[in-house]
Amino acid sequence: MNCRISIVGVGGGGCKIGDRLMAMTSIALPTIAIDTDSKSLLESRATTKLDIGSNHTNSLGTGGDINLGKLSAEDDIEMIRSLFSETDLAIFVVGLGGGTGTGAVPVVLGAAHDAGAMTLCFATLPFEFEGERRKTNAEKAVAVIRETTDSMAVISNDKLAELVGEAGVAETYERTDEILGAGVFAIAKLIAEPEYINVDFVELRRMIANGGACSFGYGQGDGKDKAVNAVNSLFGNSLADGGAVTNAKSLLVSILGGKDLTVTELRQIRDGVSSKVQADCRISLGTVIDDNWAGRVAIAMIASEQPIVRHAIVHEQPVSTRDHAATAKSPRGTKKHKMGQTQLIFESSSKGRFKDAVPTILDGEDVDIPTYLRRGIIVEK
Amino acid sequence: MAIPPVVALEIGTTKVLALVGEIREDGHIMVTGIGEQPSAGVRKGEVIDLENAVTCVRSVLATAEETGKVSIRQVHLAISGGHIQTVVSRGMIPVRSKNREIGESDVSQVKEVARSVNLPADREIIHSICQHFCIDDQEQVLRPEGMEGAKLSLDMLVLHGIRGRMNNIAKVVRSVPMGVQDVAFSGLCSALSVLTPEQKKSGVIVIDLGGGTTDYVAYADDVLAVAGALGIGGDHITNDIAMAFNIPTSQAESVKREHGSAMVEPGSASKNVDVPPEVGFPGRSICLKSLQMVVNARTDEMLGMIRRRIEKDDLLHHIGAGVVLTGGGANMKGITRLAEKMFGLPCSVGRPRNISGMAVATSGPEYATCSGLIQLGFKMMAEQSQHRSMGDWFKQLFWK
Repeated sequence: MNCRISIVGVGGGGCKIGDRLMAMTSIALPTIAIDTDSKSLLESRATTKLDIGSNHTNSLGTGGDINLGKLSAEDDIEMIRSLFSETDLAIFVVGLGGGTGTGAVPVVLGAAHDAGAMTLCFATLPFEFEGERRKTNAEKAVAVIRETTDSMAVISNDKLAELVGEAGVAETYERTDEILGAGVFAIAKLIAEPEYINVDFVELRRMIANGGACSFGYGQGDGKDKAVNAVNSLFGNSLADGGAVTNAKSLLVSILGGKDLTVTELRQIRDGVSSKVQADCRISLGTVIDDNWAGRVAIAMIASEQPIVRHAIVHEQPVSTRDHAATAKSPRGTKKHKMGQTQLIFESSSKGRFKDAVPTILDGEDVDIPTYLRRGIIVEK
Repeated sequence: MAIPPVVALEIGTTKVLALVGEIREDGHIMVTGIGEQPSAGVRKGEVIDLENAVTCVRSVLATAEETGKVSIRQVHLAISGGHIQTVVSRGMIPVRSKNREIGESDVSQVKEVARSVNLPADREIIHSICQHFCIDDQEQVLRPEGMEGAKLSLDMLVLHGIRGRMNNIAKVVRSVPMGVQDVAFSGLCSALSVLTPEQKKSGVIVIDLGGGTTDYVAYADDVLAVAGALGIGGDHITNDIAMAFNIPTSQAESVKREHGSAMVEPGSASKNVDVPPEVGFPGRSICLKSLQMVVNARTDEMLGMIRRRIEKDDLLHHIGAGVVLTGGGANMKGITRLAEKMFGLPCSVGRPRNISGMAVATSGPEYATCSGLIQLGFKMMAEQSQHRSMGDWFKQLFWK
């Protein structure tokens, strides 16, 4: 079963990364660009473009006003929500610090969630040289976004720039967008249409649903030893440092390469990654083959300290899921409950004294199942 | 003429409680009788075994009669359950009088209109509570009598529940046999009991943490803004513990009461809790930190769900007096700290106010619902007896 994914860029920064992503790859995923600036939207290559808040901004952008960004999204909330009605997973890309991205993203995430989509948000923090104000704004936004999204990876632009090395300003911007674009594409494509993958879909989606604050890692290499170079690059930069990998309980690794990617190279990457993590870490590894990547290879990784609950996973039962959705439906509730989303059907034996009771479904979850099981908390027995 | 006592009955998931209350001339309420027993035949606030439930309620009422030295013929009944929902209904009428001055008849007419809300066939109204009047375009009018306008509208918060489930609770009482004078939503009763008028004015959230259900209400600007109930409660915490550590439910309950904490405390990793052996269970020792993690996950989820429901109406900005926790779950260690963290507001445990008498009934948060129900009972009685000669002082207590 395939997962319907959209990639969503919000604000100037997010839309640019979305564009780089489109430019680099030959296989299309639906992309959505949401901005307050109609001029930059015109230049965007996204498959769907949405100009929000034109009443407030005359489509000229927010000029860094976060409130205006928020208002703009709230104004067009219905339109935004409708974008996600057919989506299982919305992958957001946003550059924090400015007006539209910072202000609108929490609202848009909320709308996607209401429409029933699972959300994974990649957010970049501004460069050091962009100043204290943008930095503070971005940090505040991170806290807000964390509340509204299922999983989130915060990426420091300064750390991304380490991968670029010494370069001019324009080139640095361009190359960091490119790197993040490639990383997001690799992850998105892996989830959308996995090839040669050893991962259980349910676990993978569960990882995102449970992920909370994740770390994003990226490395790339070319030449004869492209796989080894990519592994060295992945662990040689500080994107996912600070124990992100060594403490990880689950890792999603996507290997992006051309048709020339060999099994030996795959093994080299797999071994390189496994050697860095703890024994109980669950690695989900898969490849994405794209013609544009012949002769080089990129590794994109999401690391989460939340473990995936393995023993509790049974199987998906589409029919009964739908039943639950019907029970959960209340006159005021807007949340849809979708198959293959964050929800898993647990065996009724995991409900103890409530196993024969009419299940209480709240916010799309069967709350009779112990919270620690649903949240994937490992309890020392 | 003497005012007859009010008997409040709560058929909860954990306990069945009946309180007999008498009102004195200064308006003070005394608890003169009490009956209490662990509950039987109730799960998640709903009846699952009618016969057992009836036996239990019968014996509780008998104890209340004995201690209160009264003979009870009818009771006020508290109800809750995850099926209880609210809807805000706006009624609107044209003002008919020639000078367009709003009179009492207009007010009672608009109340009727607002109250007549279209509900699904299986649902019934429990309460309809006035929020704000609105005259033409002037919003938020509290007392419209004597003012002028062309049209008068009223927002009413209508609480409703599934008729069948409410009837089943009432049926338990009728099978005792015993009359049901009135029913009231338990969350509202608790709020009545523990709140001061100042708290209601500045805005406050009351969360009643029961065994089978968790009720919540929020007041903003002296008006009941939100009310509801979730079908999760202390029983779920007990069940989580029993399943996490593979111990019998009864043991899980006592472990929860003695050692449970809504917050994971520093240093708890190195401490253990002994679960004593029981028939068919050899006894064991569990890590305190693991126990607290299980309790924290559940309580955090419960409070989070309530926060989301209150947030939806953008109400948190109108809450100046913080969060008040009541019900048996308010005795849980660390729960006020967790609520403070969750809501970003000061939080306290609410105990019954303006009521005295039998010490046990006036002290703990688990008696808030019945205490509030007695107060509500007297208020209802005053409203109904308006046209009868029931003593002016009594009416004046409730009619300003």
